Amino acid sequence: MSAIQDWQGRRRRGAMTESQQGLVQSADWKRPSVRWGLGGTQTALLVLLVIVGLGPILWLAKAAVTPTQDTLSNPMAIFPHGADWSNISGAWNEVDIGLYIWNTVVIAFGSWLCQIVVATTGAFALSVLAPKWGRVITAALLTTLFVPSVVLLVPLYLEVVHPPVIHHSFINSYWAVWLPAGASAFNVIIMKRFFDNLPREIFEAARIDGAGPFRLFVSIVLPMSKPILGVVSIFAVLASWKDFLWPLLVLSDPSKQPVSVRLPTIAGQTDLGVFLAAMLIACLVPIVGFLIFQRSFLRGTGLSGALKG
Amino acid sequence: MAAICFDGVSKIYGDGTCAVDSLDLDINEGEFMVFVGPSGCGKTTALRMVAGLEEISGGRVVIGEREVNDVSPKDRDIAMVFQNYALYPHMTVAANLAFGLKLQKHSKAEIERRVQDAAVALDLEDYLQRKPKALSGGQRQRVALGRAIVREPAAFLMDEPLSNLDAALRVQTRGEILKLQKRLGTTTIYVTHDQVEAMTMGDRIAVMRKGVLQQIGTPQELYTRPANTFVATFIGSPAMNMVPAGAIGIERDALLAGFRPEHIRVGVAGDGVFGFEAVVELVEYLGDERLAHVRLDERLLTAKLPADQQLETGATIAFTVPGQAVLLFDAETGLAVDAAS
Amino acid sequence: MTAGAEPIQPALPPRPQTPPARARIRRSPISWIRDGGLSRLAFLLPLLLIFAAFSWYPIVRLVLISFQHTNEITTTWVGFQNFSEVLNDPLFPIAVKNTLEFAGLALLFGYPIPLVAAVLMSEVRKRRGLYAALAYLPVVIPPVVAVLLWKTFYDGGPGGVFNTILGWVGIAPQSWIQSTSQAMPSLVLESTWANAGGTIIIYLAALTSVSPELYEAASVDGAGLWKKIWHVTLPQMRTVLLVTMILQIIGTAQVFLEPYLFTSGGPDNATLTVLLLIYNYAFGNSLGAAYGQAAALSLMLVGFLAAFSLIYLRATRSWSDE
Repeated sequence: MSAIQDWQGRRRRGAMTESQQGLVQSADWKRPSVRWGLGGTQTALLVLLVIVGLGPILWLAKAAVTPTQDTLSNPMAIFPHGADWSNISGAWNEVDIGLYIWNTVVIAFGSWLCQIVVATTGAFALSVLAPKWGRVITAALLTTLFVPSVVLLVPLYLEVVHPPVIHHSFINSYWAVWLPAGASAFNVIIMKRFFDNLPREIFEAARIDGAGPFRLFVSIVLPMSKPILGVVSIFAVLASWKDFLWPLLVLSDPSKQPVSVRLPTIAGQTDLGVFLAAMLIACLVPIVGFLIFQRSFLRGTGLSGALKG
Repeated sequence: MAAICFDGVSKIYGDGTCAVDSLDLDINEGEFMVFVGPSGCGKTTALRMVAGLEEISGGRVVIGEREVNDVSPKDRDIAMVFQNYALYPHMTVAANLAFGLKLQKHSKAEIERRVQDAAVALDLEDYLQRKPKALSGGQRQRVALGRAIVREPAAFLMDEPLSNLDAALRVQTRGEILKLQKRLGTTTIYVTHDQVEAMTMGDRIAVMRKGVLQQIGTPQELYTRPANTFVATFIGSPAMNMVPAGAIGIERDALLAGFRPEHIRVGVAGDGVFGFEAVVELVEYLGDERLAHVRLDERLLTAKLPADQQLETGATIAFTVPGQAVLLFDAETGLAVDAAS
Repeated sequence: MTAGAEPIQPALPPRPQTPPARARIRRSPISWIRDGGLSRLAFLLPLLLIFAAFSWYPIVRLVLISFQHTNEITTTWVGFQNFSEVLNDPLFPIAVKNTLEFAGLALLFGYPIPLVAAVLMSEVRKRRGLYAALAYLPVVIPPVVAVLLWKTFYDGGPGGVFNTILGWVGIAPQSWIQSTSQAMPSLVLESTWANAGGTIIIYLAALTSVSPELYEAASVDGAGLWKKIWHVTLPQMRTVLLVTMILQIIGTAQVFLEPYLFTSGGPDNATLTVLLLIYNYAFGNSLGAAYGQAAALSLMLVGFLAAFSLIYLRATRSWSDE
């Protein structure tokens, strides 16, 4: 059973038994000491989570529409002299935050596409078509898990500046961000494990039905892999949204930079209120995405405890 | 419809294991052929070589007039029913049935017609828009059958298609598959480890063991004239009793005597009737008959006796077996020996 | 019994003798293609090209560069000179010490807190999703935004966010990231805030996988709440605890963003980490890029992390494989 199916199974079981069993049993809950002690602790935890998890973002939302002077002199006061909506329009018009968010979207989309193409086709070949030298390739993929991508900064950077074969620098081209993103062994291996656990009989049935490798991939394997595609997609997009150092190195043209790279510069050049408004806008897309795809986010994170590279 | 011929077919895996050892077998047009044997006997491998899912290491497989060793599965004009059904989980029943036809580039109307016909034949009309997940085990099984029949292939290959059904449903579906096969007249190879299934379904049965074909024949031939001790004890339930010939008074060396439980009666040996004395160990009352487990020397024998036959546990009783019911086997090779010789 | 079995068989026409195992013997290009070799290659191509270009080749090149002096035009071999230069760099021990300090503090803050939170959350009866979402929210904030936001919070003046809050309870303003002694803990605090949510979710997943029957059995055996945590929950979570610890060590050993954006390694190199040093060698040096030294230090980091990666791979294999 794959880790994912396994985990989903546990979740479902967990959900079903949520109100029934666990560390603390229903009978225990009836005891006043447990009810007040544990119940109180949990309420305290909720308050703490609201303050810690939500607090900074709420503060940012407040400060984004507060006059800079108020934020500087009394950061915790709530609108002492009313709101200042011009910060938002300033962030949009003067700082041009929309452009950088668009750049981020373009980068995230390309990175996602590259990762999905490499991971699905590669895992399909390794798992389903099973070439003779598949084990060698898998081993070579596993080895790269030992090398965190940040330590490859120098050779990768030199390669992008002076690519072998093609003698044209990729600096300031999005390809310099998109293509290296595809080299994620974690994606390929998690995908391969999923494919490994799909029933072989179904592939054989499809072969007898007349499906060649391409048809098998498109009509059978991909549709059966929606859960894992969702997880990998979310992590691909999130990782590229979060990325800072690599785009900073290879995208030196400010008009091409994603919002993460741009923000530190904006911090030094702009009025604090406008800067905080820009930060708020930069947060909104991932937060909204998280609220929509909350289940997949949490499922994927639980899974990454099992096999994150 | 087509005949299928195994011509010295072998399957040897990379590590040297021989799953099927030069199998020679002719399956006639329209015949229902059952491959039966214990697990690991090579029956499924043999079937998969016909399907094209296993490479053929030696010999040739002929479907109709054509050697298919190097023909890809889709071009062999066969359809397969898998043990776990292998339905496409993300497609509706209708799409499952239509998938192969679409790949064969049939016209929309033709696909529609064939799917509809199969749905009617298998009583699946109400479920065409459902996904396999929303079906019962028996319905999934019928979809798997449907996927085979819409193809209108030259042969059906069925790999233990009933093993995931409960006992009652299995008996019912057994009959339905048979009726369907007789109506369509399509050559069928049916793999099972269940000898009852084999006996009730097969026009002919091929018994296999450790990759070697033991015997091929009609159910009656296998039951009455097993070629060796393996077939003798594998076919029939309870299994045939097998004792050294001397134990029932046949004075010939190095032979085994085999006789079926239903041929044993209480009584004393006489002309043309062999006899032996055995200790009654356990008697099971089955309503219409009694199964007596008796000990002859160190061997446990089973006797199927009339329900009104009273037996006392622990007693030593004289039993008889008619001479024509006793089969003789070479103790060394296990091969059947002609009783007359 | 089987050896000489003479099955009753229908007569067959004589067949041509075909050698067994013919597939292994001849492998002409044509049979390779018919065997699906082309499509296998086509499906593998994206993976092979991308990994060759952006993973395997750079790894090899990293090793090469570490033995070279290179700028973007010329290259000379220098043996172990880069390594000795790094080892003799006075900043090197500082960076190692700081990185270890960061990792140690991160474990101290970031290891027990999520575990306690997850155990409490797993017993929540209503709206568990709300708890999980709140805990996870900081993880989805882009790290750059998080760091820059906290940089505002850490403002050392009396009007800073944190100093204002401290002022409510009568504590004097702190200088936070501007002080050599407080800078590193401040970085760790932000990093814990940003990452704890992920760890909590991993723990939660592991906790829900503990079979309720075990708890019931323990209850029947007379175990109280603490005994159940100690004897059932924690042993069941051994692997997860190991995995999260190693993930955290591997992650913190590569810490870059916080020191880079908060303090640029200051004040007085108090937050200079190994990765920041690598970055400075390669890209932060106005006198010219010392790629060789950056590569040498990277290689040393890889060697250090490989040990942990090995433990990690072994732990997850036994855990996640069937």
